Parts: sequence; C-alpha cells; structure tokens
Amino acid sequence: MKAKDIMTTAITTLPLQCTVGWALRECARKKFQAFPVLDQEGGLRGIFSIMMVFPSILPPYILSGELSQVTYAPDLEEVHQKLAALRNRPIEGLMKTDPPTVSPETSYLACATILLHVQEHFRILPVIESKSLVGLIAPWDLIKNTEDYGH
Amino acid sequence: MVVATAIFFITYAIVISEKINRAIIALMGAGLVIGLGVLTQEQAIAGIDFNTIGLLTGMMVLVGITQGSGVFQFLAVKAAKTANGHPLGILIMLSGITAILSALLDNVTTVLLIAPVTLLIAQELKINSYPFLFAEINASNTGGTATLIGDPPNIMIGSATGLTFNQFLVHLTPLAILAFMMTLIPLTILYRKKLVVLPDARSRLMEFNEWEAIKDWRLLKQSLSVFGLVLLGFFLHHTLQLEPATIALLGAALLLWLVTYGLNPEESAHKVHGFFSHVEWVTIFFFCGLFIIVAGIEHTGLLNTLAAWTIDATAGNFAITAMAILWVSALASAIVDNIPFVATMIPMVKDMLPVFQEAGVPPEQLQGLWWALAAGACLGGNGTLIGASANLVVAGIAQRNGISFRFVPFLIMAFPIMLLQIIISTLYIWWRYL
Repeated sequence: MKAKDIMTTAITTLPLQCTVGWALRECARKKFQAFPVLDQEGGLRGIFSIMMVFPSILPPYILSGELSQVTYAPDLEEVHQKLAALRNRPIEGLMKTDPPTVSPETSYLACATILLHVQEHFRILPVIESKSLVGLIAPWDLIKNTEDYGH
Repeated sequence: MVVATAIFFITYAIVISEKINRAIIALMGAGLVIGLGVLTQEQAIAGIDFNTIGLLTGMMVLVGITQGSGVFQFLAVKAAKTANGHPLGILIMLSGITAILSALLDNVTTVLLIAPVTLLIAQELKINSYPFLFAEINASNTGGTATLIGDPPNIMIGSATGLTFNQFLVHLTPLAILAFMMTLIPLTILYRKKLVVLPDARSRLMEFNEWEAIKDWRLLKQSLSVFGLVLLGFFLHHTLQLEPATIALLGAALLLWLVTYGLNPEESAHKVHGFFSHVEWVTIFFFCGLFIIVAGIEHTGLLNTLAAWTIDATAGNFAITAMAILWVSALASAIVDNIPFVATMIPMVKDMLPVFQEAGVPPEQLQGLWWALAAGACLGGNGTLIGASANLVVAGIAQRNGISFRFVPFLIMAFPIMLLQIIISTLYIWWRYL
C-alpha cells in the first residue's frame, strides 16, 4: 500500500498571506488542527497548526520544561495579551516551514513512521507530486485504510 | 615533575577557556598522567577521592527523585506568599529558601528548581525578575558555604581532612548566616525603590495555591523520610564511623527501593534508569580526572614545594597564612572554577599543617586554615558571573527568558558584595582562630 492509496485528496489549505486569527477561525470552522499553507502559485510553503500558537504565547521557562506544571499558579495576563496581539500577525512567522513530505509512491510504513516520529506536533503529512500538493495523510487515513486493506 | 606540571597547567588552561567540555579534558589529562608514567594505574585510582564522588552521586539521586514530588516549588511559592506579596520581602524569603536548600543540596540543582518559579512569580507581579535572580545566585553560594554537603569544595575538604558534618555546622554555618544577613543590607538599599508592585498584582500572588504544587504525596512522604534519615546519618556519621558518602548512597538506595517497590521489573528498570539520569555525570567524570591530575603533581612534590614557598612568603606567620588562603581562594574562585582550585589547595594546606604544628599552633586553631579555604572558595564564587556553576545556570535561564545577565553589570554589583563577605569572613576567622 502506498501514499496515493490512503491520502485524502479533498484538501483545505490556507493562503500564505492570511493572519493567525483567520487561520484559527478556519481551524474552528472545519474542526481541523492543522492546514497546509500555499503560496499564490500553489506551492507548499509550510504547515500551520493550532499547537504552534502556544510557543508564541507561553513564557520560555514553561516551554523549556523548566516549569512543567503550574497548577498552583493563577492565570497570567500576559499570555492573553500575547494571544490577542498574535491574531493580527501573518501565519508566515508561526507556521512550520519545510515540513517533511512524501510522494504518492511512498510506502504506508514510511508514512506511518514519519507521522509518529517527525510530525508529532501537527500530524499531517503532505503528499507532493511535481512540486504540487496532491494529497494529505492524517493518522485517521492510516487506520481507516488498514481496516479496508484487511477486507 | 616537568611532565606532570605541564599536564596540570595545560588542563587548567583548557578548563578555564571552556573550549572543550571539562570532563573530557580532565579525563584526557588523567590519561596522560598514567600514559606518560607519572603515576601507575594503581596510584591514579588511589588518587580518586571516592568519598567526594559517592557523596555527590548519592545526593544527586536523592534530589532527582525528590524533585518529582513538587516540594521545591511548594517551598518557593510558600516563601513568596509568606512575604504577603511585598517585593522586598519576597526577595528576602526567596533568597532565604535558596540559601537553606543550597546548604542541603547541590547549588546548581537548587537554582534550577527555584529560578523558574521566581520568573513566574515576578511575571505575575509584573516586576523585573533580575533583583530576585541576582539575590538567589548570591544566596546559593552563601548557603552552600554553610555545610559539609553544601558545595563541592566543602565535600572535598571534609573528605580529605576527616572534619565532620557537625564541625562544619559549628564552624561554617554561623559565618554563612552572618554573610547572608549582611548581604541583604546592600541588596535592600539597591532594590528598595526599584521593586514596586501594584495592589492587584500583589493580590494575584496571594492567589497562588502552594499545596497544588505537591504532585505526589506518597513520593513526598517517602523522600522526606529518607532525607530526614540521611540528615540524621550526617549528624551522627562520626559516631557511626561512616563516611557521609556511605550515608548518602545508602539513602539513595533506600529511596530508589521505596519508589520502585511493588513495580514489575520492566517498570522498575525504566524508573531507576530515569532517576540515575539526574546524576550530572559530566561533573562526576570531571572530578575523577581532576583527582588523578592533582595526584600526579602531588606525587612529583610540586605542591610540597609550593606549600613551603607560601610559608616562606608569609614568614611562617600563621595568621598571615590563614588570611592569604582566604583571600587568594576568594579571588581565584571568582575567576576560575573553585573545584580544581580546592583540589590543588588541599594537599598544599596539608603540607603546611606540620610546620605550624611544630611551631606550637593548637589543633583547634589549625583548623582555621580549612575554614579559610572553604569560605574563600565558596563565597568567592559570588564575585563574578563565571565564579560558580550556579551563576551561569541562572544567567542561562534568565537570558532564555529575555532578561539580560551580562558579565560587567553583574561584576559591578557582585564583586563589592563578595568583598564584603570576605571582609566578614576575615573578621570571623580572626576572631575565632587567630
């Protein structure tokens, strides 16, 4: 089984110029956690995930794991201020650029391995053919198609 | 003698330059000491002070397990709340808790646990965290001076001389408390007007619920019980005729056993592996290599000669020698790592003792030389940003959080404070031992 057999081809993407606020609204509307980001020519420029918002709003001592639990502390006003300020910024600064991609001929095993070990923060794997995005593989696609494979 | 001395100086120069990891360079130096025939393998191994190594390792494992309970965050938050949200009070309380923990644990571990909570507290209070972090650096080195287990120089001195945990308490703890208190005076004057907190920020600090910091009550009870036993063991180690290293390692083994009790072998192996990863192996291997290099130059008689020169230079005057040890140790430790410095000074001071003994200096007074070395080496670390590992660790955490910790601004404030502490130590040693 190859990437082309399991990928989703109906893809929703975000334009490179959109703001973080717009991207987050799209995440909420479609109930997706991550989107591929394309430039005007349709080339894949990166991946935006709601998980990428947190490194921009949480204090470094929490991000580094130096404080791994703060259940004893009240809310930090600064975090909300940063989130509000982030909404008007372009996603370009936040998205993961040069994400790992696969080709339609990549094996199922290789796709599953990349999703597990490399893409752990956004869990979608773009499928690229001739520099164009032709599909996406999410964990669900891997599981759903394994079930089909058995029958 | 030339070969050993050359290895010694080259190793020290590379350690100071920080171009190569200090554990690697110390082990290479040690390899050369053996390879070039300065020491046999047996002599080299005999040169390693396993009491120092064992005590460090045991305490690192104990702290590594205990920190999982959240007790250190609890203590930091509790300390800050005790000051009722008053910034100067918080500074004093956080320094106090840092000093106490540093006296009982390794300084770097202490600041790694306290500094992030401090950043959170300062951010809630909407004030600059620099004064707090600066005070904590000083407190960690000053607190570390107080006990045999507080700082590596003291561990080495205790192990090499047989001075007991209680003797360190009697002789160094009062000095450390005095130095800590006196340091608060300039800190208060400097920061009194800079630390202003609005009432709403102060009430937010009071919303902290320190009890929520305790993540694992069972672990907390187990760790505190074992810590209590280990401390009791330290108080009694002379009577029990056990080295502090034996007590620390036994404590570590007991706590490891308690926290893995009832687990299946796989889970247990995984947990134990995790706990041993808390041991700073770089420090441990650095010590091993260093002890061999120092044993090398000791073997050649170089340190003996240096000790004789020092006594000549001070005209055999005991008081001047003690003061020279204190001040040279402080100034050297402000610039270079105090661990290699003290490792070198210990055999030198040992060589000086018989001379003063023959001159009729009583044993209680002779001990003053060791207290001078300990105080100078530990407190000297307060002088510059590179004076102690804890300073660099705090500076690193601060820089990552956008708080500038630069060498010169730190020096301008820290060096005079260190001088104040060494003047206090001078008076203390003069009063008690000379």
